[in-house]
Amino acid sequence: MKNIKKILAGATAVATLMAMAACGSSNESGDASDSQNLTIAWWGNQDRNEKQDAVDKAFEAANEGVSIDGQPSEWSDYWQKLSTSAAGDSMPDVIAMDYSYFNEYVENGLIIPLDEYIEDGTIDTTNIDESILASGQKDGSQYLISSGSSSPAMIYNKTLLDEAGIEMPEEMDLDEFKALAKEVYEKTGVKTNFRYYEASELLEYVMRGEGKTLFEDEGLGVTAEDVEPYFDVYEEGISEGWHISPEVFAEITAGSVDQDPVVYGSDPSSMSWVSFKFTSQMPAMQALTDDDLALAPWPAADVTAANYIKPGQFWAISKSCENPQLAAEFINYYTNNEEAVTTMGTDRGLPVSSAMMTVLEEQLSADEQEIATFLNDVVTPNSSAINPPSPAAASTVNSQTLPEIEENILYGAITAKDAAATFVEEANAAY
Amino acid sequence: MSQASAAPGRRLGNAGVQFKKQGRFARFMTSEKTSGVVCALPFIIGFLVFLLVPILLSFYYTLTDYSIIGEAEFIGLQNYIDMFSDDKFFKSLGVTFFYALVSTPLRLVFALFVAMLLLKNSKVSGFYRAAYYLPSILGGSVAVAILWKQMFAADGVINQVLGMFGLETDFAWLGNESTAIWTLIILGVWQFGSSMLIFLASLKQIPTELYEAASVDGASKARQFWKITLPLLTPTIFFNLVMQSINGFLAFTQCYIITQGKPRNSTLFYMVYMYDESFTRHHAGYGAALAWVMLLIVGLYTGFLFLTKRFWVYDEEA
Repeated sequence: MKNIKKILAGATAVATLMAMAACGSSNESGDASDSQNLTIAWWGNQDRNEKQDAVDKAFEAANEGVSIDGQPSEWSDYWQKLSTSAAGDSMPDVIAMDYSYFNEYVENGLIIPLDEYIEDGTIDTTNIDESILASGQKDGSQYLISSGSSSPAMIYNKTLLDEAGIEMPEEMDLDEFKALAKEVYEKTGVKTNFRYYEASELLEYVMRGEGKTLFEDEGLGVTAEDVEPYFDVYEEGISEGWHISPEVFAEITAGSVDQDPVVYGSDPSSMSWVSFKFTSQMPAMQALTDDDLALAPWPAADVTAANYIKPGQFWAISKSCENPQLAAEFINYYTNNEEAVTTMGTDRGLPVSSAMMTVLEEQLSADEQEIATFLNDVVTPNSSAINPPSPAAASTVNSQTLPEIEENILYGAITAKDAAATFVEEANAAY
Repeated sequence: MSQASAAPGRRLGNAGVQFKKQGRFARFMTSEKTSGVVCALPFIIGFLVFLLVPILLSFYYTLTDYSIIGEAEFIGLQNYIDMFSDDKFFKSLGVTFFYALVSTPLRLVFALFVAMLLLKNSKVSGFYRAAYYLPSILGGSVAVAILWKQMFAADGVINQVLGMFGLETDFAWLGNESTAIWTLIILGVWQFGSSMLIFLASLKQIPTELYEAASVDGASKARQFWKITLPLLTPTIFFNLVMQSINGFLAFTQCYIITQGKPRNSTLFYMVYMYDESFTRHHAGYGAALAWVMLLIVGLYTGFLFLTKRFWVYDEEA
């Protein structure tokens, strides 16, 4: 009995202590609600993470008492982490947002409007072009601030093509692309990666070149006949031998810049001369190879109709953010501070503020200059307005339907014709 | 409060008298039943908050179109109905059954074999037991999964070793539909450590008199194994079979890190499909329904094993 009493006495004491401790910490967390801690999450690669860390540190130095916790992830992990934290109402304060997820997050009230911070001048948008701002608006409110402009681009191995004496045309359609890929393979043994197992932007782009919209609000805006030429590239590529074998992709993470077959791989048969990316991914890829990489527009029947300037990535403030004022200051710092802009360079695309673009232009490296020239001289004059943000169904198409159909073609399980029919059926079912 | 009541007790120096003076509440608080409950409370609270609530909540979600980032809307049994027309559901179920039903027996045979080898007591047997147990700690980890991926790559260690034996090849073990699942099965078999330890413990329980009597009667080692060791081990085999099969059905890391279901979903584990549905494609309601179906399957399978028990498991009391 005595022992039990002791235990109970001890338990009571512990409970009291815990209660006191809880009081203590709740006082502290009372301060924390307007505390100076900011969690920032983005997707990226080694190169971008280092640059972003430098910007975060500079922001900390410029604002006394502020502490930033940066949380980088790979693209696919990023969205899984973000949705899970959204379910638990514990999202990071400032989050990187992509055009394809914008609708889903706004409709579920997970990101907050920035209007009041723009009105009171916390976020200065005076030097940002109206069309760039518009891409981050929904229902009359500004939700997103673009963190850089980019455009679709083939990032190709110029050294390899030069050595083989192959001329890269300024623009091409799918048939010309296939002929080129075949020529490269015959002359160098290096194969082609036609954006295999990645999201549907290339298919969307090719459809734009035919004057069609892939994702419409209530279903696909295309028929099986429309998409068949896209799947034909895989079928011909694998039967003629110039597309990378799907077995190679079983060993790498598709879509990862660090493991892209242009810069990764030990043998011509597992390497590609071209990667279908966005201009913002060029510096990270160039950092991984000694060969000279260059940019060209993706192929389409009508490149001007197909190509577009993409307000690359965006910053948004999550609804879990306890100090949106500070978060807004950070977004403004990222957008309008010379040090931040020059640190990031063109990593997320060209700066959206025209004043900052002028500052950056003077100190661009050769590679970054190449991106700026490509965007300003090649894409801007020959492009059309970007499609509206995709409906929620696109996430199923991007992560499952399209990659698996491409895989089935490359493994020879289905023909391009069947693939096109299956794609249209399954993508429509995802709505 | 209890401190206050304890102090006068000490002053009187007579616990018995003090005990009588306690009120009903104090008596209630100091009864054995109460203290038992108090001591178990951390677990009970943990179970209620972290297990029971999520379990019930997940069942509710199976009846909704919960998307993780949005509100859940009640849709009745639609998720369960959808499963019947979901090819990927059947595909992943087939892959998972194949994996569990092939890797578990292989793992048990291997574990028993190594346990027999390690049964002899010598100076180094402790070291070997620890060394062979290590894979079952490491085997489920991300690092080993990545290592496995490198080993079975076209230019990986496996092919280089084969090359040393004159079998030059750049065969893509992970990229081929017929071999990819086997790399995962081999990794599963390699994690035989915990079954091995249990076998080792029960091998030591077998009375040595039985073997002595058998040798006197002239029974060979092999006959002793089949007639003494194996029958007496059946309860342990049964236990390992149940536990390891369940582990097999619930396998996740190997597939998620090494193959991600590639090629052509030939290695798509059920748990990974469930995870993808829930978190990548935001069909958390459907994902929860998949989880409950798996619970049912594991329950039925275990029940089936228990039904077969009386036909092959040695029961001391019978």
